[in-house]
Amino acid sequence: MISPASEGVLARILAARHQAVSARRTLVPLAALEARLVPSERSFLGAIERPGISLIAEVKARSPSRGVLRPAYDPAELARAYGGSAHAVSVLTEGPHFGGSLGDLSRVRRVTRAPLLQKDFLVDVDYQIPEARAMGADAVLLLARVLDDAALERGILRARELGMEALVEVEGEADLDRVLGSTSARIVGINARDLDRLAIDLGRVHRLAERIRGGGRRVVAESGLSRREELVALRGLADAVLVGTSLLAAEDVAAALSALGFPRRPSRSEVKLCGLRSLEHAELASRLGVEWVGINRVPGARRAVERPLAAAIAARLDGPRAVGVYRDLDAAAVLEDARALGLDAVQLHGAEPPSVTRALVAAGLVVFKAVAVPDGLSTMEAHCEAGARILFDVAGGGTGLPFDVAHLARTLLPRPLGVAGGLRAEHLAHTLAALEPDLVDVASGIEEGGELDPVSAEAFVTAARGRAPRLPARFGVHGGRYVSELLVPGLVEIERAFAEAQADPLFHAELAALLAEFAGRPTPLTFAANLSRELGARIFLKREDLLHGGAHKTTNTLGQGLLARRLGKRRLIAETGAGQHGVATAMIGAKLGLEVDIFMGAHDVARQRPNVQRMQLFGARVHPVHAGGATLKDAINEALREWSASIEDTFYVFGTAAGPHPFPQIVRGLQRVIGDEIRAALLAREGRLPDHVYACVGGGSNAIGAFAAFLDDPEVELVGVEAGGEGLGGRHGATLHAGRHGVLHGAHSYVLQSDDGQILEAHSVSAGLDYPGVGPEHAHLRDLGRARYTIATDAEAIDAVGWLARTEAILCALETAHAVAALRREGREGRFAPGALVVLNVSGRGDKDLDHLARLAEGAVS
Amino acid sequence: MRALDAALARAAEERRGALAPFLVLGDPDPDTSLALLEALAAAEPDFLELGLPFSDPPADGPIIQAADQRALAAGVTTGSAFALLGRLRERSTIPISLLVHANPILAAGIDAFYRRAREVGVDAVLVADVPLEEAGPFVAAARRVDIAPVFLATPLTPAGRLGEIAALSSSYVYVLAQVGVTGERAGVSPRLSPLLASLRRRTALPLLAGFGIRGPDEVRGVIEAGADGAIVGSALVRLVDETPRAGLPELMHARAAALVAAARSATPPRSAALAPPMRT
Repeated sequence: MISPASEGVLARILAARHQAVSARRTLVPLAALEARLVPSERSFLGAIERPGISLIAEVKARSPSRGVLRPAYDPAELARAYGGSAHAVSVLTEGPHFGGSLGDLSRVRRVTRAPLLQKDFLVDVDYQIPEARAMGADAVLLLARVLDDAALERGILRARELGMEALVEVEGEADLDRVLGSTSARIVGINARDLDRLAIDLGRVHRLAERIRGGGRRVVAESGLSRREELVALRGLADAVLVGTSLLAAEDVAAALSALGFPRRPSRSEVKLCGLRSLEHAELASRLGVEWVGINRVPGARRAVERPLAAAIAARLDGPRAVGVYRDLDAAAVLEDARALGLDAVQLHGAEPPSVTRALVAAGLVVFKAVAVPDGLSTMEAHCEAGARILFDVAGGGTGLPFDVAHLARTLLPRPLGVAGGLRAEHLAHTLAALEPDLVDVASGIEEGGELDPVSAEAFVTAARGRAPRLPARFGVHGGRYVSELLVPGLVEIERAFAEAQADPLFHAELAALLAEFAGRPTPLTFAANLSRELGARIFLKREDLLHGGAHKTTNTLGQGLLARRLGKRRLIAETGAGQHGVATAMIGAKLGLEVDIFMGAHDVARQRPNVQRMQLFGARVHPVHAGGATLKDAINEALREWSASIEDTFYVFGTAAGPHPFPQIVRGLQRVIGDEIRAALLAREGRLPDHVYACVGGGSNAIGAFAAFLDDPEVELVGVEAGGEGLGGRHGATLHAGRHGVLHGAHSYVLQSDDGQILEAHSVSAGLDYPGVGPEHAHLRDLGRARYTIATDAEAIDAVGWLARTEAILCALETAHAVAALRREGREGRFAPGALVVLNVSGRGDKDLDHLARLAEGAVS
Repeated sequence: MRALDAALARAAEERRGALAPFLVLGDPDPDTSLALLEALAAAEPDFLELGLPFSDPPADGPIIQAADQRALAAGVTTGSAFALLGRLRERSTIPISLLVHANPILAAGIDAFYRRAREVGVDAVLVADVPLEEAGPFVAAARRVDIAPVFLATPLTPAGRLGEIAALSSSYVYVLAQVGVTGERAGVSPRLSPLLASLRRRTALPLLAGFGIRGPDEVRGVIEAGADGAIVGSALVRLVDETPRAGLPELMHARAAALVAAARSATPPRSAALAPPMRT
């Protein structure tokens, strides 16, 4: 890492490190550090020991020798770019010369599952190793040149006690003598280039690596590696390579990783069913949706088929591509047969020379080259260079036995990588985890009694794909997915992404960081002393009005925005009533660099102007919708229409707990943090659960968020407050009171409708509750009697805004004011036992309503 | 055999494309609507595709939305729409396929709705916002009264799902010619042909392309792309708004006749592969 020529630099770095560590020892005593240590759960050694040569990719901003590598250095962004390629990430934590900091470890840890190596100058192993673990490292670098034997060994052991590993770096033979002789180092790092840094010195690498491996240790080759050919040349020598500069200095990090031989690993493997012998097999393969099938054209092979049948099978396929399998023919013969069968892919299963591969690739065919493990490994590279896709198989092939992955140690795995040889559904998971192949090939593993068995084939494909996670689509009879067929694939994609994200600790970590650092969660639970005195209960206000953006909506859009990015969408669309969801969507769009289009009823555009301005300031386009009553229902209609036309590159960020499956599940899943926080805060403060929880209900997202944590606690009364408008005898939005079972916007729920099933226009002074539908889970809770739903009229809500402002100095949204009005009314009616614990969810702040309230007071609008 | 199935079979035997014009029932008012339906029937299409007006159609563009609004404003209800169909039945045997949304069916009661439809001679029903997952009760009710359940196939539908859609369908498969909502577009989407080919491998049912078909050229275009026929909606529905009432039925007839002629002049690739046409 440091050349002898820069001895002076090293001396200065070490001196600075000594000073810095001494200072930190005083600031954060070792005892304090040790108190909060948790052993590492990510195995750096495991990453090194994987089959093939592993990649440790490094993040640093600059170095003394190269200067600035990355002007706008963002270690998390880089780590994310490395994510699908690197097996471990090396993080520079030295500041003055490399631009890193200890805090970079946690930043990187949040965005990758890979183990982290702390690259720093450890001068005080007793302090700095626990410090590294506390800051999130899974491995530490020990420089043989800097530490004496005793310190090295102490460091190695201390690291292991904490679940970490030490990478011990040596400069030359003398260092290596000491490390091998006096320490129990398991992983040793060596420089791949000669002392003058001009070229890879294979002889030197060989000498050092041989000695290291002799003791069963692992070798990490570092320094200046940038091309795949260099890694191929290290075959048999290195277990892993550490690469930094060539990646960091690249404009296109993904391209640099590919050039190095580490393209992004596939999220799932393609499947090739080999040995098809009938038209039924072709139909089976098409039905299972596999990407490839193999048709054996090797004379005398057990699964061989004659040309006419082969052609018929290939023609019968719908979806999968047919691969003709040949052995030891010349290129002309293979080409002739492939053309006759109409194939665009072939597999060479013998000892064909690379010239055959080259000729067939030049003829425009996809060429799979079977490589026997281990016997064929030496010829593999030549075929790679000729353009073949490598398919690892057992020597002899077709025997039904797997090969030993140990043969692949210290060999750069070719990409794309295919694996064949004795694969079976039962242990496929192991192969997938160990090799992360781009393709899995199976023949005998799907046979029963020598014949291709449809049930086995289906089981294999299921194992290869992983089971698609599913969320329940209904709440009792309500919910479902009542949409045009055009929207179904998009909804399925979102459902799958959300189910996977829920099981992914990285997703949770990234969302948690955004919610905490950007949005301001957790929100406070304010004790309302004056309200409490007046109503004779202990009343707490959950302050979603204090969330960034001014309402609970932000929590939902942050989560859905991350899902959209996970799916690679470039645009977000959303409906909005009062504008809070529109603002929240515009915010996450700006944060993630996605285009945003918001659909808002023209009536709401007029009565919630400040929110329209905010959306536009965040860079969103706002589309007023004039149809129907020009409110929320019509905005949803228009957003659904827009999504029908743009569903492939656009994510619909649904704003409330309604809409087609999976939206009600997603919104509840994201908003339930409200109730979870209430529960935790009350238990900590009051030692018990609330007696009553009040929330306003339009579509129902803030209410379901508040209720979800308490659904299984029957002693907690859940009260939803709908828009009473002019009263139930006039125009209103009280869907659960006056609606009937029906279907609106993709969900079976309660709907305000005519006898004929036409949807009625709702009315409410508050734009967010002005909706003739309601979320399906609320419909279910109402039917069960688990939640109680009441109303507040326009007049009551308007009055409640002022009352809450004067009594508790909180300006709440008109939507929230409905819940406040009901709380006041029921409190004054004597509903609360003395000392009852009541929580009201303040779903949003009321700044957006000030103009509208003023105009209402003047009698100018309704 | 249902009259609609017989009409499509005849089109196939005669090796010509099929054509179904679409209008919203009761648009702009019940009497004018009846005159328009008769005018369409006189143009001798293979069947009529008729929409029940709905307040909030999520898959319709501005033209059909406006038609729905006009009909609702004229007081059209599910009951009066069926009555209108009854009156049409008295004057014409033209087969009818209904395009409806889930909520009005649920409001009427699923079985009651399908029974009434059968009474007025409806042969097929497509519920626009009910995909496979939710289709169970609707398919069961349809089958009980020998009404064909019709489903949508789209360019975004995965191959496996196309097979399931085909398996559940009767009479014909409604193939979306465009990714988007109803409304005219020029030309034929390049995604239509592969979609039709994929469906063709999975079903012997006629494949009728709809959404965005603007005129005779596009009708011929979708048939040449592999469809057995075309369903044309917005291009006709817009006339109701654009044309003075007096001349509307004649104009509707003329436009429909041109579309029917275009369909008849084209030979669907599939029937071209069948036995030679019957001698007439």
